[in-house]
Amino acid sequence: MSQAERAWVRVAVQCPLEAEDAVTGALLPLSPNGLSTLGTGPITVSAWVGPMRPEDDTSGVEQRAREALEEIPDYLLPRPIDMKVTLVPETDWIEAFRAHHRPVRIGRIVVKPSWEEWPNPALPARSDDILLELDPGLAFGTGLHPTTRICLNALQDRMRRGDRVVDFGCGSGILAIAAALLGAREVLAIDADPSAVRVAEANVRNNGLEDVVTTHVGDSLTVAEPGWNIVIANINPVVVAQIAEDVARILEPGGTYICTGIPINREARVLEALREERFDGITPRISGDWIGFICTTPG
Amino acid sequence: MAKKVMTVIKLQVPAGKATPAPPVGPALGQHGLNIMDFCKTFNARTAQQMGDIIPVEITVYQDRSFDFICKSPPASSLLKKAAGLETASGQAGRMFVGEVTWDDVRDIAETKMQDLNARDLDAASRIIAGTARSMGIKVVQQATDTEYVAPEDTVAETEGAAAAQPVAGGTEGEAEVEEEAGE
Repeated sequence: MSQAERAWVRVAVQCPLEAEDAVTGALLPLSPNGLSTLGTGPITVSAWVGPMRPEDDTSGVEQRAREALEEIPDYLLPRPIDMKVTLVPETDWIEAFRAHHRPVRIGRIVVKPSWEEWPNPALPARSDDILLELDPGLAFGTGLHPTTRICLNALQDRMRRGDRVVDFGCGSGILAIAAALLGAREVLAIDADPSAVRVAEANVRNNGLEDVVTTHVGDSLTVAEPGWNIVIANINPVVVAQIAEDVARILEPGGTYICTGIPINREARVLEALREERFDGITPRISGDWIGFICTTPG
Repeated sequence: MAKKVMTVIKLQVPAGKATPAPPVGPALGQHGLNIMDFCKTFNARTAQQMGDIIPVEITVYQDRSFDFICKSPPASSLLKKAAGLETASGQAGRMFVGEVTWDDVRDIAETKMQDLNARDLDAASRIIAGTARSMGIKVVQQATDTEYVAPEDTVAETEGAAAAQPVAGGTEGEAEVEEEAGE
């Protein structure tokens, strides 16, 4: 199923401001990714259900929404309920999303969105460039975020040919693919979001690296046996601190942990976790408002 | 050197779990904002509140830059916590999935007073109680020992009756009957 074919059902409910919480409570079970609200009074609360294919029946969504809303007392939500159901194709905002992506060079790696031309006058080719072609779909990891830069630079500094690398929270697969292009023998790319893993798989194939990179849907490192040289995690301060213990377990002695997704001034708990697990040579890397750490297991 | 505000976007997003899928993608995309930047920053800021829904107000400037502020979780989310529920009923009205006391309701009303547009605490409490009922949460004077059927079990029973019944059937069935008799 290509991105372009998919659509989301938008259930938009107009209500007085006082009813915002009740309407939110009624619609959230339909829309676990969250809701959007427009206006200041009356307001329009929108739930988003999907993704769906064009042939999917959307009448069930409408009925579930109406049933949930009917339970709200009429002194909060006046009757008849003003509810509109529309089908919104994903292309509408994927285009907007793509407009922010241009080919970008990070060290020797050139990250090229699949829909962009490269080389181009803004970014001429160099002889030692490593081309990484990427279609991020709606997954994290486009090469433009400061934290991705921290990771790509750290990989180029620390990875040796033949290393075995785990990319935890792989998103689009950008870091896993970069590791493979830099000569990793084996790469395991893990993400909790199945749709991100599908995007990563497609990107791995497009770069011809399916023999090197394997993907896994999961939210822990328990799937990985010990014996890895590098673990890289670009997620958030809570998760990269939480997994430090598992990282220490699966890394070879002298193995490297590269972690980021940490806004500056929120690094305290990460540092604490790294020290607790006896990581050595903890080195900060800063890009924009973000910080990352490179460190190694004793060995 | 104040930047010119173009619009304000209001979203409610699970803490630490913003993705470019809706509602974030369409809401930010239509104003040409960098969706990934927002998601990454929001997730990092809210990672410690995992499990809560966070209302967020995004101020969009004319140069397509943006700021955002996170607010306290909505009443529905606080009610679920007070009632010890994972998810709301989905079958509110016909079946209660939990209860909160009027004291809980007043506590939540106090927390949310500023956002509620209510005249006084009584009016705010009525709004919160209405939200509770709309979620299948009963408002009681004093906590009772009623065993409510968890929403997950309700789904399991309707979807896979044969498989779920022998294991999970007995006590939950009784709780449901007891609840209906009490109404």
